[in-house]
Amino acid sequence: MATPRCFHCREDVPAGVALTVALDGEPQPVCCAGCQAAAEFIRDAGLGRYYDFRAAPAPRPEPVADDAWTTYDRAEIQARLVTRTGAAASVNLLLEGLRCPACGWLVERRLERVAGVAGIAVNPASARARLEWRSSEVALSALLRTIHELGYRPHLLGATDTLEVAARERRVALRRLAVAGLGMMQVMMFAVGLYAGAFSGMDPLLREYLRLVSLLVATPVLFYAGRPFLEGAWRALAARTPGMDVPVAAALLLAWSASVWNTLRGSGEVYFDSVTMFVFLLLLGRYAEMVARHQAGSTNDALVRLLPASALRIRDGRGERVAVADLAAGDEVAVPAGETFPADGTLCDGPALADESLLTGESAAVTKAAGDAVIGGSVNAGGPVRLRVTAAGHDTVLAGIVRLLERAQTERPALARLADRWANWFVAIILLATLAVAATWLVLDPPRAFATTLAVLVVSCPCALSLATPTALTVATARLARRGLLVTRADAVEALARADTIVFDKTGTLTVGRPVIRTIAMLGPADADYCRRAAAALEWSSAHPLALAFRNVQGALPQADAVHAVAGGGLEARLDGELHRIGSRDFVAALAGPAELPDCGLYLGRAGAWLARFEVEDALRPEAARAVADLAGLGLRPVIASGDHAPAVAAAANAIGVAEYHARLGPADKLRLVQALEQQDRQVAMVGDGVNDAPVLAAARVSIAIGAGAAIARTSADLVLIARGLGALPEAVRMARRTVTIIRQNLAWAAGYNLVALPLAAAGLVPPWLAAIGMSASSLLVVANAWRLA
Amino acid sequence: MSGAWPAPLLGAALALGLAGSLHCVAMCGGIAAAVGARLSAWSRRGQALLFNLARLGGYALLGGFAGLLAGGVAGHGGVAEHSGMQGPARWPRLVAAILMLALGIQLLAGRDWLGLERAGAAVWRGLRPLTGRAAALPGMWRPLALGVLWGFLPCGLVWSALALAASSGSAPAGVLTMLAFGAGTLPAMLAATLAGQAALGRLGGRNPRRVAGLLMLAFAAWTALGALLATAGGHGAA
Repeated sequence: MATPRCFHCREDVPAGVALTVALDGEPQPVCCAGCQAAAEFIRDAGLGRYYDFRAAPAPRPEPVADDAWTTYDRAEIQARLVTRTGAAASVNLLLEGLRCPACGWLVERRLERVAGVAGIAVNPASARARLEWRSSEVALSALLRTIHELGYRPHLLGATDTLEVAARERRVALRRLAVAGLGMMQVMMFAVGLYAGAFSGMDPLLREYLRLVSLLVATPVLFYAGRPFLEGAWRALAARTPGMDVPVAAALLLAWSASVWNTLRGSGEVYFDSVTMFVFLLLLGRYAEMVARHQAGSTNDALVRLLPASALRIRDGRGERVAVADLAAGDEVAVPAGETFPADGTLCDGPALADESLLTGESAAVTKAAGDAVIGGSVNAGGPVRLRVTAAGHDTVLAGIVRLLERAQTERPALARLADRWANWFVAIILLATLAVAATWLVLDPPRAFATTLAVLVVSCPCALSLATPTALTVATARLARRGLLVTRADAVEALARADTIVFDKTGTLTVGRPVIRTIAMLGPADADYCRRAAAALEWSSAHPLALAFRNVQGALPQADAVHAVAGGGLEARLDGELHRIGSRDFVAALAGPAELPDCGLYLGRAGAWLARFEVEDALRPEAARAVADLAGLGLRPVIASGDHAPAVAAAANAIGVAEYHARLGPADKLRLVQALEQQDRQVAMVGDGVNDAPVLAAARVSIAIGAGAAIARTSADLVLIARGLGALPEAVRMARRTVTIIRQNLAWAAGYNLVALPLAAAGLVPPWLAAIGMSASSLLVVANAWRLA
Repeated sequence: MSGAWPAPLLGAALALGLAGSLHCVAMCGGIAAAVGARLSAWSRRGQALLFNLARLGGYALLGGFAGLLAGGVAGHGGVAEHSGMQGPARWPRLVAAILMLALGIQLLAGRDWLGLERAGAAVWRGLRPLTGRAAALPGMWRPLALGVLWGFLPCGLVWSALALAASSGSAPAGVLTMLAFGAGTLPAMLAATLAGQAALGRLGGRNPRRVAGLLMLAFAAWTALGALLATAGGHGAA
């Protein structure tokens, strides 16, 4: 019989040991009294389930709808997601529902027992797993199914997964931090001994020994843990710019080499304690900043994760399970109740209930009718429906949003660039000042010159100055994204905080953007039905919000050729060969001839004849008045700039409580208006629908696009409001202002600290170790202050 | 405590704790992970810390007893008495080195050589019934009480550290010694509580006990070397 293994620690039980522990009434062998006690402790604390998790996970099979996993065995899908080296394949997984370390453990243990699995490592903190297997022995689908049976839903992640990268970065940073921390503790211990010895007399041999050991410990701390700083300094020097790592690296190398020299020659001061402490504290500051950055990145990741991996495509009346990547525009897919819409599309049947909360931050599900557009990533909260795909993969709204977010996160905001430039100047000044200090002290008091020079270098590191802005912006951006406002440009937050005028487009911005035809007044020879169909034909291809009013017109539309839009006027086209116009009174009058008609509503006419006047109505957003009042309370002057006719705009302005409004503005007029405002030194925030208002949005100091459907993905606006409702705007302004306040505090603190500490250090009042603490505390304070925005 | 700050003793205890970390993870990683897994998500860190600090509290209690007992037995004048600021005391470190050596051998041999665990098991039997009651406590009290009890688990390492604490010869010095020892084990065990043993599982390779044993021997050698050099220093200064 094989040697029994200890139930607790899984080591072999030594011969002659007959200890057991009773678990669920079953005696289990243990190797020693310690393991026995530990097992009893776990059992008595009511945690006996831990052993089940660890040893023999009871499969909890759950019926899998169709079989979603076999899709992953197909080569074209694996090609994108699976990395292959010879017979071995590996893939990164995200395990949905993974919450605790024991769960991660469970998955590892379960998969390790599957033949063909070469390795599985689960990180419970980020719910990520890396799975390696030999594809000749086991199919990926079988492994995924196994994981799913345990109660976790695996998602495949692309080969270049950002979270994986972030996790690796964090791992390395933690390792460096650990090396620095442990080394620091050791060296500090020796340093205490050395200081004590310096006071009470110490045997030189012991002193030499302690110094030598300190050297041995401090060296890897500097060159392994401190490598980022040394490399940063090297890069800065190679680029001939004084980066902020330069004084840090200079201080570290100076202190270390002087200490090495003094250790070897057996006299003089050593600074190994300051070196290790400085490295450790600097790393701590960078780590805090990195965590903030990664949290912002996880927003993108959460969005990407919204899309399911496979979908049920309907072809020739039969459903087949395909990867979402295989979907193309025009496909029809079935979306069961409770599942996620796999792509953008229009509903084939309805009504349906779509929950877009993950995209918009809005919790209530929206009712959609057949023909309505649905955004991929929202959840089908109603019964099963069919969807006609209009955009899949990289063309979806979701993909566009992620691209926008990535753009903001990779851009460096002007404020940060400014701080960097200051920091560069600052560094140059520090280096010069340090030389001056060193020279002065060499003349006045040579023995203290080195320590003082060192302290100056350390104390004046502008790390806090460089961290002040980006950390605050990162935290604020992540917070705004959670509230449904995406920041797509790094400078947007600051600009929004400064805005003092807010210009709204009316249609689709202050109104819900679902216009309906209220009345039709017949003006000419044609009947109402013809006029409706003619108008619908003209408006068919228009992206103007009002065009939506004609979408539901029934009957065969006349053939429209040579359609073209005249900005601020309307549309012109040949309908069955005859030129027609729809639009403002003056625009149509140019074709139909002069007439005494009021300048409101949409006119339809052809050469020499007025046909009809449509009154189109678009309801105001219910929250518009409240949001505008809030914004006014924040000191922003609200202005409405609309292309609509004056009575409609006036009515809307009155209802919302806006005193200043402009009607009948084409895009060029709106642009002029915004430019005029800016010439009066107003900081204009422009809120529009993203497509029709693109030029104005681009001209305004800060632009906010109201997202609806596909348009948001292509917008150039600085901010995109994907939450339905304007209520997020006042909050965003407040948030932006707080962010700028925090940035100012951070900059003031960082600059103030450096200004105060530098003279003190130069005067020789700050020992190097205190300088290290002061400088690092300053950085940590700045990062902690930024965290208040979260 | 009468003047003498047992710094070398504390250093030795801290080193013992650090050196023992691997052993701790092998033996108690399960407890740490099992309790850690049950902690609610948002207060995890705080509770994990509480749980581990309570364990240190348990150690401190033991250390106080050990110091008191030893002080009583030896009359006044434990090792702490000799470890003034005048010269680095060699005894605590030598004792620690010898304990580490013994423990290292014990780990490598895989048997309870010193009888320490058996002695501990006897104490533990008296405390065991409390575990169930501790686990039923509400809120913060649960990790706290479980943690203190955890500190009393019979573990060779803890009992070696206790011998070290006893060598201090006074209750406060014993408490401090055990706290220093606990602090040494804190990083590894805190990590095990939060990240789960899985994260640390590969730390010792295929045979964590052997690795822990070897590491312990290395630390013993290092500590002994330091102590011996300090001895030389002591003579030189005298």
